[in-house]
Amino acid sequence: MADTLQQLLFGFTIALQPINILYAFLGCLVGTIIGVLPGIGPAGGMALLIPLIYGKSAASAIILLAGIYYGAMYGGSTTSILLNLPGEAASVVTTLDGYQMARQGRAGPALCIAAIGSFIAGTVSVVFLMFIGPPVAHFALRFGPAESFALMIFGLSTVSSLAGRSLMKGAISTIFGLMLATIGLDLPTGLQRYTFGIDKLMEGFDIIVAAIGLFAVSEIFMALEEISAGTLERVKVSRIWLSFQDFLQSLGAIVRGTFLGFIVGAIPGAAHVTASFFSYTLEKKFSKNPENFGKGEIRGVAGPESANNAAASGALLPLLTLGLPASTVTAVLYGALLMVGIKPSPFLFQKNPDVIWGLVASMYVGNVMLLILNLPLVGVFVRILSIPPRWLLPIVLTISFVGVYSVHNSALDLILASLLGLIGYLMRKFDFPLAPVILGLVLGDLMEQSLRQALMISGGEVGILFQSAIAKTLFGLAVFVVVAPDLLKKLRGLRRKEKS
Amino acid sequence: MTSGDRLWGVVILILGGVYLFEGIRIPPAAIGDPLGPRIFPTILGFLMAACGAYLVVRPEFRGAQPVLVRRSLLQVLILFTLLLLYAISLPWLGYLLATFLFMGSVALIMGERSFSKGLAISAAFSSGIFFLFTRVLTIPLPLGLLKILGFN
Repeated sequence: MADTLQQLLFGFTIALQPINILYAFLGCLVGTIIGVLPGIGPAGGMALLIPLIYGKSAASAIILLAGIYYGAMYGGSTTSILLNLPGEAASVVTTLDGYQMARQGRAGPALCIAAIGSFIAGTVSVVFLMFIGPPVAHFALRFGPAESFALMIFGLSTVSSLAGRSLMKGAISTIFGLMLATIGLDLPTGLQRYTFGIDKLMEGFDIIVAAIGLFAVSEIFMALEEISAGTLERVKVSRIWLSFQDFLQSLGAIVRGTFLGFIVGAIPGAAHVTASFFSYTLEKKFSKNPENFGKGEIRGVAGPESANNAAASGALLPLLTLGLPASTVTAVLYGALLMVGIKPSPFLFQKNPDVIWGLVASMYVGNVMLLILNLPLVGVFVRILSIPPRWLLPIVLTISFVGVYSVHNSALDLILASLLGLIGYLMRKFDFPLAPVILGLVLGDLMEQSLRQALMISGGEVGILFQSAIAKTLFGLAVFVVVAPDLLKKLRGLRRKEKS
Repeated sequence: MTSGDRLWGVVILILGGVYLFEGIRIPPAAIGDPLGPRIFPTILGFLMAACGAYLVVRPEFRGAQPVLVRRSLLQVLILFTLLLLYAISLPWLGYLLATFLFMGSVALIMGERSFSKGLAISAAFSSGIFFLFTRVLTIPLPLGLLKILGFN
């Protein structure tokens, strides 16, 4: 313990060098901008800035890149809340209640709680990273193909059962997302699936294209309808700052989101998107009034935003403690470490204490910086909503489309986003929830690979999926969340009968 | 309006069926695991078709379902066509020109009445984004016609 603190102090001597403070600031700033812009995710943003780290010291380079990473995690929530436009996949969940809050004139508190939740989660999860890092990393390594498959089934079943009002429609949305995920090249065999002879489809369906199409474009179709019916009103901003009561209400969600996010983030492949979805469903499940979710419940913003940032630290865990990159973003960091002459390995902590402890200390510095950077911006961002809709909507469309285009430099992606916008519009009209489509698309690939790997290990024996304790627990939970709402309803009905 | 759900059930049933049919037709791979690429799509297609069938048999009744209004649906389709036109014209018109035209016409649909104001805002916005992406973030955007005029 004392040893860790001493190491951390050593880390601060590195992170607080003026040049490194400057890099942390630069990283946070660029990260925030990248997070706000749809399309370029954190991994893409970091890759763009890799040329900048040539010739820098290893600690400075890694501080800069990590700043971009968690800066992007902060920034992603802004457009989700204000415009129903998810800047990156992990903030899809934030649109559910954040955007509703904005429409009720509570965009300010929503942005504030997102920033504060991110700050708390970011700071606390760095403490986790230092003290309980290794055991969590080893637990995460026990997730083989079968366990991963079970985890994803659990994730998808919670989302299908809780996202909408009807389990059947939630399931249909989920399967639709999984289907989209199978489009493209099948990597293990090199076969094309569902590409219908269109070469560009081989790369598969990008999550950002789907998220922007389903959420942002369909939102604009909805708004257009309200304009033509004359019911669209400009949002009246009631208050900009968060009230203390709002904060107290959200604190539990922030704490739960932080724990959950950190652990899910450490599991290879699961990443931020899953973490924020889990946190949302957890909050909804244990809330006294779950019917408020989706209608502007502040806990529905606080939980997922915290989980998302805690997952960012959790995802660093396998890289720092085991030398394994477990997500795209950490793979870019891995490459950057190699470039500055460091070979990631399980011995990073011993061999390169200056880099690791410098990074950990800079994460404290960066989180404070992001809070200072983001809170004053809330007032500026909220003012965006006072732009009249006839201009705000075309601007949103243009920004979303440039984001979609920049993913692959392909006009086909624009067509796909427009199509999904239309599909999203129809789905909303007929009560099909949109969020499960995104989670299905994100998890589909991984889910299929883990299923196939498991079956290959067992030689086609399906039983392998249910062997380990972790897998059994997860499958059990999956069945529970699907059946529980109906059971509860029946129990309540019985009780009422007894009373009368 | 149960008929809405019933119609969706049919659409989903067909979607699942076509997907399943295409999934079964995926040729066995020469390398790796021969049946692997087929397993997952087959399961998905089957589940989707089953969900569709369920909706057909037991559509969920829910009071006043939101109905599509012809007038607004027409506007949605006009905007959708504009989006497609923008996507198709972007590579050869170039980012600046295509975006300028696109933003202006969307604002028009959304109810902008002043022509000069529309012109000014679309021009400012499209060139602003173009500058931010190509110069600041160094992400290339298509030049299109500008290239012919000798810009780069």
